[in-house]
Amino acid sequence: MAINNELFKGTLQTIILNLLSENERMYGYEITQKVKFITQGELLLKEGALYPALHKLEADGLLETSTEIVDNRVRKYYSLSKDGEKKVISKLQEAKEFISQLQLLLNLKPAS
Amino acid sequence: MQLSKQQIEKLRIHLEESGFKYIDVQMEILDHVATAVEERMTENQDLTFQDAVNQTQSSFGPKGFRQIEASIVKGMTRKYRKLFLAQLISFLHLKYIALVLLSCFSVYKIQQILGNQDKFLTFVILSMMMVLVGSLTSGLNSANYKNYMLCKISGSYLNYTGVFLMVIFQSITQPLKANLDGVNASFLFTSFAITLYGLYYISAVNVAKQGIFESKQLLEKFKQINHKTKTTY
Repeated sequence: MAINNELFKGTLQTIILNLLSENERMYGYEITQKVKFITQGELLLKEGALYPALHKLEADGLLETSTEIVDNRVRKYYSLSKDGEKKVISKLQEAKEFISQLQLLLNLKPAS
Repeated sequence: MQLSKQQIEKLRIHLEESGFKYIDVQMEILDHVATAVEERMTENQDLTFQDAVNQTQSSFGPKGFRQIEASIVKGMTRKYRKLFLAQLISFLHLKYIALVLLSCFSVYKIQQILGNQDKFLTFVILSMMMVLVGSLTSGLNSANYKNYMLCKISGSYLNYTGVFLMVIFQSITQPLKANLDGVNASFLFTSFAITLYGLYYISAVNVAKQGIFESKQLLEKFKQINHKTKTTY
């Protein structure tokens, strides 16, 4: 069953920050594919949601960028800045607390 | 499957013809689309390049690549606005505040010494011309980077300096007729306006230089590709 993408919009920044904390640096397309791979295709991160989030995080100083020539084109890589490294911890904690509150509210049992 | 230089160039021209004229905006869309096209062609060996491009483009939805462009522009605007404000606020730090007040006092004193509005106006015009020449010869010339959104957005703050100049010229040519406990209100207002203009101008120049620096770094990358292909960036 495909998950409604609306549900994960609010945690998109946390997802991106967490992916970058685990992968050091990534490019836009790679992030969309990583989300697809981890969720086995249940969540599809569209470009229309990804790029605004990436550019907002960059503008807020949480991400740093670098460019490299790859396969005859210039590729922009995103990585966590020092502030981003700190932020990912609080964002993950925030997400965990939100999920546990949702479980209480919706009377859900954690997946085993 | 890896796209050839010619296919990448075809994609770039397609983006340019679709209205994506800024090189840095093109760059990010191009890499995303090219990677997606490569993956489609790897998954389905029978798929032609053009079909893979069409499928990728339609997967972006009705707004197409415009949504990526919009987010790039929004992100850059936000980034440079933050940089500009940080620059401006930095003048309120203790190490600069004395210098700012001294500048304001100096402008007031110069007006008192010159005494005559015409002389002071000439002095202001000459000073501003010198500042302009100084800025242009110290890396503020952005003519080579006009095709870069980075350069356009970072340089946008310089467009508003005209407002300050209008206020300054107005305050010199039509001085206030008030006296505040022995302090000439007109001189004081002009001093504040010129000092504020100076702070704004320095901040705007620093942000514009950052944009030019980032555009230059990208241009170098494109030159390396250009060295192998005939693309002009």
